[in-house]
Amino acid sequence: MENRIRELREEFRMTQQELAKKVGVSRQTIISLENGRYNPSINLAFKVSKAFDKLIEDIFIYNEEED
Amino acid sequence: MNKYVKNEIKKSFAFILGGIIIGVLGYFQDGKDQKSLYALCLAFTIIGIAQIAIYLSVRNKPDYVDRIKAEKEERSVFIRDKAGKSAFWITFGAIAISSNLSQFTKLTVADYGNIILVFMCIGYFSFFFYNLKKY
Repeated sequence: MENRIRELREEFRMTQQELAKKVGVSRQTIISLENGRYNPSINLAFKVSKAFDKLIEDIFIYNEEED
Repeated sequence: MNKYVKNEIKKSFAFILGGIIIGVLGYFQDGKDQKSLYALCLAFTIIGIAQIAIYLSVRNKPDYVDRIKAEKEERSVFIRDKAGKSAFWITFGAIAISSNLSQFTKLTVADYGNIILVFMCIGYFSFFFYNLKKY
């Protein structure tokens, strides 16, 4: 699933480590999320959206063709 | 060295020690029980060595230590579950095949079971590292 995490992180001038600490995951998880290698649970997606004060759909881009 | 890593390495040594004790117990058994206990000894030892290798490789990398510490983190759980699932089905298939192979070779089903026990450990850690890289 595509997402705008890296883009928003840079906009907020946040490091991967800072974002990881904020949402309660490891930095490696943030890297995997940004690279699209790992799709977050709804719980983690909410935490990430809360960290950027955005809606989930503003961050994660659902592509029906992937299914 | 990080305190957490030190403690985990100590636990891994205890695991190996447990395997050695099982091996020693197996020495005093005979027949197929001896082979099974030797296989368990080998499995314990492989797991203990693999864990020590993991912790030694990350002892000077705080970022990786945090990652390993986050065992309950959803991505870690996902990776472990996927590795376990893969190892289970491969073991299941191996048992199904080996139970028939015993008809054509001198090895008994118990012998194949012992071999599979060891390879199940290798398979799980192999898939664990593969999934760690993939996800």
